[in-house]
Amino acid sequence: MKTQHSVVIKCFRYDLGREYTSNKFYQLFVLDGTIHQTSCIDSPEQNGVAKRKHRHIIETACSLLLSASIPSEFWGEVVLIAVSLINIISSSHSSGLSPFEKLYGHVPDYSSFSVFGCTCFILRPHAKRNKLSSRSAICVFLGYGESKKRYRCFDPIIHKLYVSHHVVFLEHILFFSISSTTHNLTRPDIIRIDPFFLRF
Amino acid sequence: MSVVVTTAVTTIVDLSSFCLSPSSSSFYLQHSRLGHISSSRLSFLASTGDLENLKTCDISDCSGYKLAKFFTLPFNRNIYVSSWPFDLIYSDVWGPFPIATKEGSRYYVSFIDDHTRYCWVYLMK
Repeated sequence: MKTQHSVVIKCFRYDLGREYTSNKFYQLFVLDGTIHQTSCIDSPEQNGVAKRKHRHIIETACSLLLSASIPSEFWGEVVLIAVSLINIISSSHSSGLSPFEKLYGHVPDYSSFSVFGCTCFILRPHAKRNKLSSRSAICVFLGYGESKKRYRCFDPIIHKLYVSHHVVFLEHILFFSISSTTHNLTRPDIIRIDPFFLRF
Repeated sequence: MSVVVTTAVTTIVDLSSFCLSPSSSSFYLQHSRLGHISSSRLSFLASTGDLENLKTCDISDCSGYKLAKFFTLPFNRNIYVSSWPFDLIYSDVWGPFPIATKEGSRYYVSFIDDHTRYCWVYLMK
């Protein structure tokens, strides 16, 4: 926060959860001179902004998860993608500006978004392939990397998460709808009947 | 007669001043008789004529009512909006979710800037 935006947080509001009441946390505040405010016991209303935001995040994440038929163990990825979407969508709270616009002062780039949970092909790293093996792996699209033009894709066959720029999307085909068999991610043999299976 | 309430932290509160006395109003007497009924309900009953003609009076000091029927006070709507980013950051932890992610996270922590409503989320174990 300090290095990116050259500011120090002036005031920090949170509830009385044990996760916040550690000594290290307080030391950081003392160092920066941040005022910290806690809500009272059993009064989540006093931290209403955070609670309302959680509801928005979970509602968005839930709709993404259910529409793509993604297993619940990917909830972390869904939450991250939901937050990145909420941050660039304009809200009535700030007269039609998105949080991203208000913070960075320019319009976000909407061109790099893809449908969550769609099928994609990803260029496999050189070390992982020989000259006769397939150059790409079929993956499920799970989100965006920390920086621009990077995509997080999961290969359910070898249980590996790729973060790559070299991705081609098939946005109209949701990964978990192409096989009628229920995908059991712990059993690769089930996925081998996949019609899109390309590996040798 | 003196009523003493001993709470869990062994604080002793003398409630004798809140008890019925010969000088208590009949409204208060009926309120005590009818299981510490609310003031508005008692006024309604009085208006139907089922009870004797009662004159409404303030019973907000009744200890039984205060101790047993206390409710959360309303929260006023916060109209303060900070004028610069990072003036005020809200934070909360969500979880635990019954299913852990691939990395083993079951919680996430969010940081929300009050001015821009920009949100940062980090997964936590």
